[in-house]
Amino acid sequence: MNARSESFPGPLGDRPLLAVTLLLTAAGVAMIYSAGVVDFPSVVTGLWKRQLVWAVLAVVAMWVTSRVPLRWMEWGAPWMYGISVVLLALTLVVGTGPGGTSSWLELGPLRMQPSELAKLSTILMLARELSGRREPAERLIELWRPLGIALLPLGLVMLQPDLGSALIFGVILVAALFWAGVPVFTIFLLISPGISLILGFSAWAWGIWFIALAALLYVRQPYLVETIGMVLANAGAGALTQPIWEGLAPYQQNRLLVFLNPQRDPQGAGWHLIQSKVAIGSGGWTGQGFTEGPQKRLAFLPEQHTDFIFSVVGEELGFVGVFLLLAGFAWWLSRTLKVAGTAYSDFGSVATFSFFSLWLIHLLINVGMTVGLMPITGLPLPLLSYGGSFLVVTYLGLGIVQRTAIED
Amino acid sequence: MNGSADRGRGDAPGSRTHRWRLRIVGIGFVLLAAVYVGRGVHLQVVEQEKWSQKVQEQSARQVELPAERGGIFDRDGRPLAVSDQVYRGYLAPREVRDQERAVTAIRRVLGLSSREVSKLRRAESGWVALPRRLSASERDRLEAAVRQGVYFEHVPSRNHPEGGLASPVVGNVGADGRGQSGLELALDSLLVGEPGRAMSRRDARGELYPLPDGKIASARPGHDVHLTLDGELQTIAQNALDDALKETGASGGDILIMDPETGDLLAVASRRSGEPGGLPAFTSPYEPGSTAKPFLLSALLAEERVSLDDSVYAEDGVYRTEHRTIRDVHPMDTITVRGVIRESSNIGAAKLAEKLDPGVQYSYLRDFGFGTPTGITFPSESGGRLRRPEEWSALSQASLAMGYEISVTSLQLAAAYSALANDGVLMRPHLVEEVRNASGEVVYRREPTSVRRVLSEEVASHLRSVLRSVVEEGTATRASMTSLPLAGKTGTARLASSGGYRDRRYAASFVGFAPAKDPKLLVLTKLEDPQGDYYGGLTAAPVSRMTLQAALSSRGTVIPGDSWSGESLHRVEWGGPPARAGRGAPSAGDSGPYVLAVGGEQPDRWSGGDEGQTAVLPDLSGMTVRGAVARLHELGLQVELRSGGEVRSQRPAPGTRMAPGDTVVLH
Repeated sequence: MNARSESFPGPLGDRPLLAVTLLLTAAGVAMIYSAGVVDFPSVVTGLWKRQLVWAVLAVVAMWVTSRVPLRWMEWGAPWMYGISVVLLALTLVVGTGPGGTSSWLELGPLRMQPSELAKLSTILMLARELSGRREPAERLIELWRPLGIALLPLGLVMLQPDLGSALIFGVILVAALFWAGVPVFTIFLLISPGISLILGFSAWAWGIWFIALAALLYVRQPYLVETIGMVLANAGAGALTQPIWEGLAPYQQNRLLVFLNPQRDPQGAGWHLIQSKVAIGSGGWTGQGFTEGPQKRLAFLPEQHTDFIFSVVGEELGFVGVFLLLAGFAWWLSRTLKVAGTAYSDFGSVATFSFFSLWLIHLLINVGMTVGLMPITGLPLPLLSYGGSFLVVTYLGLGIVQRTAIED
Repeated sequence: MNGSADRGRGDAPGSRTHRWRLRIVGIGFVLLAAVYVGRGVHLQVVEQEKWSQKVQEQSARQVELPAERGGIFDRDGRPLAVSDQVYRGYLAPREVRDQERAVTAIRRVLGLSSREVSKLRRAESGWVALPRRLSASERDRLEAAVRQGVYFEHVPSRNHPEGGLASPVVGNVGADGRGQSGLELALDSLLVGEPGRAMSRRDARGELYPLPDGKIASARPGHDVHLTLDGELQTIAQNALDDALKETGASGGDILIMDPETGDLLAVASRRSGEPGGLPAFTSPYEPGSTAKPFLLSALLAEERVSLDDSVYAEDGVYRTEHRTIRDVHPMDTITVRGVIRESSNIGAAKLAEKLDPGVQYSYLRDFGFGTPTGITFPSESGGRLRRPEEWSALSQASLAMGYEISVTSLQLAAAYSALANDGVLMRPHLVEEVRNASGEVVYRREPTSVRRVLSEEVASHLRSVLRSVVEEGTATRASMTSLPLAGKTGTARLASSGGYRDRRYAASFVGFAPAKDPKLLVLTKLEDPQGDYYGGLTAAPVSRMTLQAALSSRGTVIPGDSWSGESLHRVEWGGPPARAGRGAPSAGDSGPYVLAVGGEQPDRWSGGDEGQTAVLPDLSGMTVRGAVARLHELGLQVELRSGGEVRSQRPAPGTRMAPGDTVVLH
């Protein structure tokens, strides 16, 4: 036991982490309440009560999870993973969702997004896989199992198609590998085809990248098979860019293009981004006052209770509110990172770090899109955005993090 | 976030490098935090101005506050057209302190059903429209009861409290609140006022929400217009026209009542089949026929070509000239010039016209105002048609003498007769007496305006005596009243249509004024295509008499005592000038009393001697006011009218014995 003054790992886990979690959740309910205070009839009005009920359920779920020994979780991970993959496959057959996508499964009144569950189980499965080794993998070829574990749900989610969530699986994989001690160069090689995929839009950019990669391979001298494999993979990815782009749904293409230039479609896809920036920017230092934001009240701000709840914070509470909220998230994530760093269990440590990365990427992308730093992907803000299943899954992850802290 | 590897767990994944991995993550974390906080500063502090302006641009709207349109009133302040203060109400559930209390207050003020209320009770956000519109007083009561969260929006609406009295004169207002016809159109710029401005919020879907403190400039209400029309006389004229059309089967007609001394139009009733809502008395000229004969006589007397007692050979009813044959209804051999008018002899008129130079004949007609619009305040007034002598044919002089080859509006004809009544001075006819601004100050008042002297006083007086004889013993005896000497002239003109005159279709007319010596009231009656007895003397003249009778009974006109015929005048009284009602539309009940200034003189109706004559008051309930007033007038009683329409009650009760000059109050 490490008796540091600021940390009280015990039956309750990490208390500061618990406290900031509850604080952020309460702020979320408050902001969802505000999101419903609008001058026009809106379904959002009154949703805060539901979110409150979900929050209570989520806290219970977290507590129950934190009672489950990590060994059991490790044992159960393949089962959960298997169920998640089956559910993801099911969405391709009977899934529903907006705009021809199929990310939801509906069974009577119950509605769930299997990709949320899959993120959780993939994290556990990767943690189990990577913590089971005596030495961290050094070679690419040794990574085929974790690679497969991540790519299976990634591929299924991509087919829904849900590009944002698919990218999350990639991020989880990289994070888990990094924390498990896989050499950075190996991880770099692993993601290099992805970089080729992006740079493939420009023959010049891709050409320079490819030459740099070849030079690096020559200097570092990995195994011949890996070298050849990487060269082929990067060449192939660069060549596939155009066909994949054309395979994207028009709304997905549009979102990426609008991110590059919001004025491209100010009434359509660019609308969200422009209105969000107007809302946050007009907030100034102290904002328009809680529930008073005109952008939100007058229906200019879309999805004000889910994807763009951060914009409501910016508009109504100003920079002070934005700073406090970001500080709260930073505290929350740094406590999580601390749990990962001090964990006794390798399984718990890798899982906690993966959760840290998952939430961080959600935070970066969601806040980033509201302020124009990231493309609009429809990823919600953890603990704040309205949405019961997402809140519960986040709290399940926190339960695991707390369990890790307890077993420290 | 340091210190993990210090525990030396050999089997931890990546334990050798955990420390720097954690550090890298930590550094990356801090850098990202800096980028995001920096972005926040950039948007919210550096660019705040720009984005706030954007909010203003897309959500703030300046809206017009509607100005209240001025009202149109009759000369006694009776409202003919007023803008009602009608409001649409909204409840903003988010802004009320206690929704239940607010809904209860709304229910109480508006008298809503529980079903209508339940929607308001359930409302949680936005703006919920109240189920029914509110009057100004309902608005004030609701505003007092619920101080926050209830909003009102003005709805333009035009109300005609007197049930469309004089509606063709008043005209219509369009949905945009601007005048479309009649005086509403002619006086639109005076009535419309000036809208105020206020800031309002607009949502992404274009919906507007007024801001409670968003007013920039108040609206300036429009001016009120007080007409020369007299509501009572207007009612009488309209009813008389309706009755006349029904009785005679005429397809249309005009009744105009005018004050010949001032040119004030006191009543204008006008209808034509196929012209709903128009005012044909001002806009549709016609050939006047014999009512134009006095203008010929005016010219002859003024130019001293004849004297009233000269005789004219009337050809025993059939006068063949080179070009045509002229007939008289009543064949005569020799008649006086006076007789030509009295008996309305076409042959006499045609012969007399030969004594005039065409240019002189033209200039007199011109001076009486024919061929030129009178300039009354009304859209598209017609000037009629009077051709210049150069365009005349050999027949024109005779035709013009008989009232053909000239077209006049009823308004022009009434104005021209007013010149005869008014000692030879033609007055400009008026419809607008006063214009007042919203605070009641008079910004315009019509002054009686003379256009020109057409005849000398002496000639005018001769004409009046001739016209008096028309009523006394000529073609218009049916217009004669026992109590008051009336002068006038009948006309029975063939109706023209495209391609010639139509068989057996006539326009019957009568223009008269009373008292004959010093005329105070002028009545023009014109009936188009009456069935059966079509002569003006048989149709239009009695209508004029009844109209005049009712008019004299109902109005506080100052008729000098010596104007009344007979010596048995008991007393002449009037209620003084009726109180002018102010801007706040008076109800019928408190309008000033209209006191008949007449003492009757018909001895045969009264029992007893000169002193103590009494009559039994008949039951008047159910009669039209016009009928009741006419009846009371016959009995020589004074009348106080408390409202128009139908008589519902009277004071004293039926059966009471009344002395002449006593007052009867009708409700």
